[in-house]
Amino acid sequence: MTNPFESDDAAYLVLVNDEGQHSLWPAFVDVPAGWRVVFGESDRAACLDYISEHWTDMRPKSLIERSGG
Amino acid sequence: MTDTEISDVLPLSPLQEGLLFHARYDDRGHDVYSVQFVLDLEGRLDLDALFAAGQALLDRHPNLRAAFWQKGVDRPVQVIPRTATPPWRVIDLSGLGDEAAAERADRIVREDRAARFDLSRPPLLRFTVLRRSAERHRLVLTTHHILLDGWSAQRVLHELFTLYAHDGDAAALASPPAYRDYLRWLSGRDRDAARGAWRDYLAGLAEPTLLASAAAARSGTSPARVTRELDASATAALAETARRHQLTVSTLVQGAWGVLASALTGRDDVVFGVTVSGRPPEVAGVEDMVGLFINTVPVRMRIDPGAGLARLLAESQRRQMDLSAHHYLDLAEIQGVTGFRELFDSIVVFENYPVGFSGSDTPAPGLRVTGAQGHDASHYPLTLVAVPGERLHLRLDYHPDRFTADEAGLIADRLAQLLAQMASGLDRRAADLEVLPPWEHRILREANETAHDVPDRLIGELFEAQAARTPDAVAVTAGDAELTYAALDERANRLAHVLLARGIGPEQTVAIAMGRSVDLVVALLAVLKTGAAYLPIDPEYPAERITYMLDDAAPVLVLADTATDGGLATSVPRLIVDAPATADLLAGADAHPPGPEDRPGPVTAQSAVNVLYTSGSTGRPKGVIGTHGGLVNRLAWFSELFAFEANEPVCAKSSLSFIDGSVEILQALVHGGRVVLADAATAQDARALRRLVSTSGSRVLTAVPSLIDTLLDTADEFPLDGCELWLSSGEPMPPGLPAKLADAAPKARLLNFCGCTEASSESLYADCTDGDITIGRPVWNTRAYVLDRRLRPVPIGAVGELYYAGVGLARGYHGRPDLTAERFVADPFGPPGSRMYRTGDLVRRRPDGRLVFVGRADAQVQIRGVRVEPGEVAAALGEEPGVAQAVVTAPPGPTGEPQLVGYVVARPGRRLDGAELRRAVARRLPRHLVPAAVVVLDRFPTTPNGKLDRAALPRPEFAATAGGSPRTPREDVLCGLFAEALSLPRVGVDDDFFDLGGHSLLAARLLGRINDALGTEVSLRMLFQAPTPGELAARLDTESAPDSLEVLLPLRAKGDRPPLFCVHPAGGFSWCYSGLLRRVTGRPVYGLQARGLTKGEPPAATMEEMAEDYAARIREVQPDGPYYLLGWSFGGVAAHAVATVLQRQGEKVALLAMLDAYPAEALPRAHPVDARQVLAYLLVDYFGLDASVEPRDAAHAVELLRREGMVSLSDEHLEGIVRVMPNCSRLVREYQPATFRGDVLFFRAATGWDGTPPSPLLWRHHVDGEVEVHDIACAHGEMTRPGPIAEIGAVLHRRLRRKEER
Repeated sequence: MTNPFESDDAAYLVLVNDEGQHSLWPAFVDVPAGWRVVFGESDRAACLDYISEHWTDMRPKSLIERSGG
Repeated sequence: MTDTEISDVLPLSPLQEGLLFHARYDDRGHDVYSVQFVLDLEGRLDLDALFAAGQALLDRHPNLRAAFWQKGVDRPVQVIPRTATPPWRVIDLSGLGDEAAAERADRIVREDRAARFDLSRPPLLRFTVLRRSAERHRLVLTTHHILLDGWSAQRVLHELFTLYAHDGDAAALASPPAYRDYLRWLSGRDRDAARGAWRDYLAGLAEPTLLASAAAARSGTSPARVTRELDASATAALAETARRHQLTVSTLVQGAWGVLASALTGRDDVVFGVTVSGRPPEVAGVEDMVGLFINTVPVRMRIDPGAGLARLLAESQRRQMDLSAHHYLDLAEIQGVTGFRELFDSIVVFENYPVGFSGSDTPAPGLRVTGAQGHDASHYPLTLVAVPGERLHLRLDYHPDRFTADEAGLIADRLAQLLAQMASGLDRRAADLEVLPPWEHRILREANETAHDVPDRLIGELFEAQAARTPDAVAVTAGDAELTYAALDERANRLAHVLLARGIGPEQTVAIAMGRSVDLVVALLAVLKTGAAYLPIDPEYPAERITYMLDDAAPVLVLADTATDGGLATSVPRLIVDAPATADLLAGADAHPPGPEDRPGPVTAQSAVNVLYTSGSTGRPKGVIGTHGGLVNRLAWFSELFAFEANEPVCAKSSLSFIDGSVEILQALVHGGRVVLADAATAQDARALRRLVSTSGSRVLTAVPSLIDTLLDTADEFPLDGCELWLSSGEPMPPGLPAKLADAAPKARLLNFCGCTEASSESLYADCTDGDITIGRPVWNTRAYVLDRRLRPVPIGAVGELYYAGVGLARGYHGRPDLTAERFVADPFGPPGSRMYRTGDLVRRRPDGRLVFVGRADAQVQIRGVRVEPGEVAAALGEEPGVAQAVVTAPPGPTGEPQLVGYVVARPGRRLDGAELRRAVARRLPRHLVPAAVVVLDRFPTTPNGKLDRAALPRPEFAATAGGSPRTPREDVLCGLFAEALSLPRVGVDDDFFDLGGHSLLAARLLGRINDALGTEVSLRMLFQAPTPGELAARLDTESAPDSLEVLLPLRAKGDRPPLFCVHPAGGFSWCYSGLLRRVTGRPVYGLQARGLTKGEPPAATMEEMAEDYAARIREVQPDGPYYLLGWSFGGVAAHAVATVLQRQGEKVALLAMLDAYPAEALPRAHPVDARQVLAYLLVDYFGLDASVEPRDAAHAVELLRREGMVSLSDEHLEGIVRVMPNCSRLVREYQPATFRGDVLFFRAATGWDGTPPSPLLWRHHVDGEVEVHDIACAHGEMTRPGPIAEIGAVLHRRLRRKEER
């Protein structure tokens, strides 16, 4: 594996930015600026489930706001 | 040397064996293990005393006189002659000026270093004295590493000068401890225990650490060098840090190398070699011995990024200490326990032996050293030598065929940087060490400095502005139809208003399922003008796929035309754009561009512009939601590459379903071009497309490289040289494309576009016109990162995964938040809160900042434990002449393990041979990268969008060739020798020596046997490149290819002694005698084969005629006797006939040997006469097949043999036998033998007879000498099988030698 996003054994986080966009994130890597942890650490499947459940409107938040909700 | 001249025969130490191996592996060019020590001396030099000292030196150290012998022995030995005199050369340069003398001296020293030692001829050292003046000399000692290690060499020089000071009086020095004591100690070691210790140490290692694995293997160039120094304070700090943690500086250097290797390979578990002093304390006086003691052993480091450095290093040091008792085991054996062919390709040497002479030393009274230098090297692609001192000196020797000077410099910089960080303390995690030097970070940063102003406009607005500038210019043509900018804008406006009136607007999706007409362009622009996202539906797609896309994307409306409407099974409302009702609707609609007030919501750069479905390699197709901002950026950037002229024709041929399709059209329309729309039929027909490109006057064309290739190949009267800019996109560019395009269109530029739908089409681009194929740099407002498994930028040159960031990024996958969140991830390097897209492409960055595509992460495979990029192998295949396209896959082979399979398509007019191509790349690639098979195809299977369809590639038949039987005498001999070396009952022609457990030392032994048997000069390199009997035979055949059907078949053409001639049995072929080669050595061996094996050649009419013929052929090779003759069965009778002919001609026949041959009177009545009988006889008696099936003809017989796994004969061969055998049978019956004057050496088949066996003594009637009979325990038909022929060969060999000595 050449990237840290595809391991079923590793611990992951779910990050969210100001646009409400979600990112799966390997727990051992520092969380980048502008992102906050909303879930985890947990296994990959649990993180992806969380994302499917919570990221329901995939439009960027700024766009939703300009469109008046 | 005779026995009396030899004082001792000793075994080799492990490292000596290894060095002998390497000397033989690379038996041409520079021997990297030639070492040299140079001293500049001031003061009067007494040459006689110096010569005497040199002699005394060799007298006191027997091992300095050693020669290394391998021929004819199972294990190599070192032979110590009683005496040896070191060669001295004295060259007077005193007549030359300073500069000329210095130059000349350097050249002499260099040439002396380059002159290879023949390790079998002692002594393996020589001296040169360069005289500059009476008081200035340069002394050069050149030797081979196999004699001395660095420590010993310094000692030798000291002794030399001590002896010099005493005029060579041996008594000046105490007699030295003997190297043979060390060798004796070695022989008493418990090697099993040592192997066990190394096995434990290396257990669980997932793969070797090969820093140079990517580069092609070439050879011959001598190593180059870069050096770095740690400054004095950092050096002191490093020593202090080591002391504080009770570590050695050597351990810190190793740690730095381990961290670096980890970064370069992206692995946490790495191995490299270290040299150990190898002087076992329990051997008395070992410290004072002179010889080769050092060994190279692996160091394994697990660089857990979270682990504290101090702990990691302490652990590594402790584990190495535990292994020190096992340091003597040779590396080949250590590697053997791991199962990896090559465990590492870099070594770390910490030079802590006592320093030798240096400036201002006084080696002897009246002499002063003014300069000292040494040259040694290793065969490893990378050798780090750390020399402690006030400033830690780092010397990195690299092989220029594996690393460029830039790359080596980079590695050295990174190493120095790591050591400097370690000097400041070890209380940190391994991951906290910064591997990349600041300037490397700068390159990475600068490569991503792509900020560029882009108009803050929507695509519709950009088009409207263009339409206002050039209203009357033609905007689009499709067949006979065309629209001006003004007309196109007006029609798009009307349709947009119709859509807006239906409530359609931003963040809604409108499907476009239309044929390729001007209406398609109208529809596309109309949707863009509303602010909605378009979903292109290619009407040619399967209904199932269309339904899936419509269900998944849930558009609010489908725009269709009367031709496509019928094919759409969907409940989504449809608008038929060319229906009469729609015409009315459009006529009544507003013709002005819609503004924000007309739209139900705002459109921003973040708004969805399209939903494009991509099919990943796995899973369902995904709808990628692109943004207006991303697409505008892409369209605007293009103006940097290409200046549109007024009315610029742009051929648009890609389906709208692909991002390229939209880009082709919109790019032209926002820059004032004229879209020349190819219809679907034209787009799929290379000839028609070529015509369209040519006649439209298009100066720019975007296409997948395979299509470009096809277009160039399409023979047509329509030239393509009007097209100036070729944009290759969608697939990796094959290596041959630039040259091919340059041929067809010399002035054209070729750009490589690399990108994906997820990042608005192109993210990277490179100009590849000159053949330098890269994927270049990012486009405007785009960043590209190459990251490792920990999301750190990989060092330049290392392979990592490619990520894109910037305005081009799509919003994600429609309705797939999970998939989006794992591919579009947080970007640690961009502005806060930004994302990056993980492409799954593997790339590496060159020192010039450009990126090179390596392969797909999901295509990476492990072949025998080594990670392999099939793309890299494909690139190598693609560089072979005649190859137009190449791909490599890794399907499971016969054993279930993945094997590389190459697929190639030939250039027009060229024919390719898969096996030959495989051999060609095998000469250039490291072993693990050589494909198991190369399949030649007429064309590659493609998917609907023209990309390679990997799933449709045919699976090669490995089973048909694996382990096959020998097809030629040479293959037969080689198979036998391989089997013998590997201690296996049988080895097939396609079995790989190394896969069967062969290692380097076994290989060295095998080679000796091969060269003895075949009279060849096979080097180890050749064996490595051609490790199967079949490949090796083919390599030998290219040098001297005997025609297998020739009358005189040289089984071994070389040898000092007179040849042995072997006459064929009744079948006519004499390959069967190849088994003799392994025993009968030192002389040529020829087979005589029957005339008539070749179609159309008349067979001999009588035995007499045949014998005359053979005698004549024999005398062509050997004009005069004595002759040595042999024959099996019929061949024995014929040999007898030949012998009598030669005697009649007045020649001596020294040997007549018969393998179970009897004169006619002993032969049974019935004998095969017709073809079917011959074949049945062959199958049953010769090949031992079950007699239940009788062969119909030669082809059938071959098939029967194949079924039994015997593929040794072709039908051509069998047909030859069918012609010849009945004839031979007749000849022998009609022949009345003459009398042979001499003895017969007879080998009798002792078993397998029905009833009473015939008697060899029948020959007494036809010879006047003795018939000496040797019984061989086999049947008549088995005499040339490996066991019996070996026995016969041994007797024969002894007999021949004896005869010659007499």
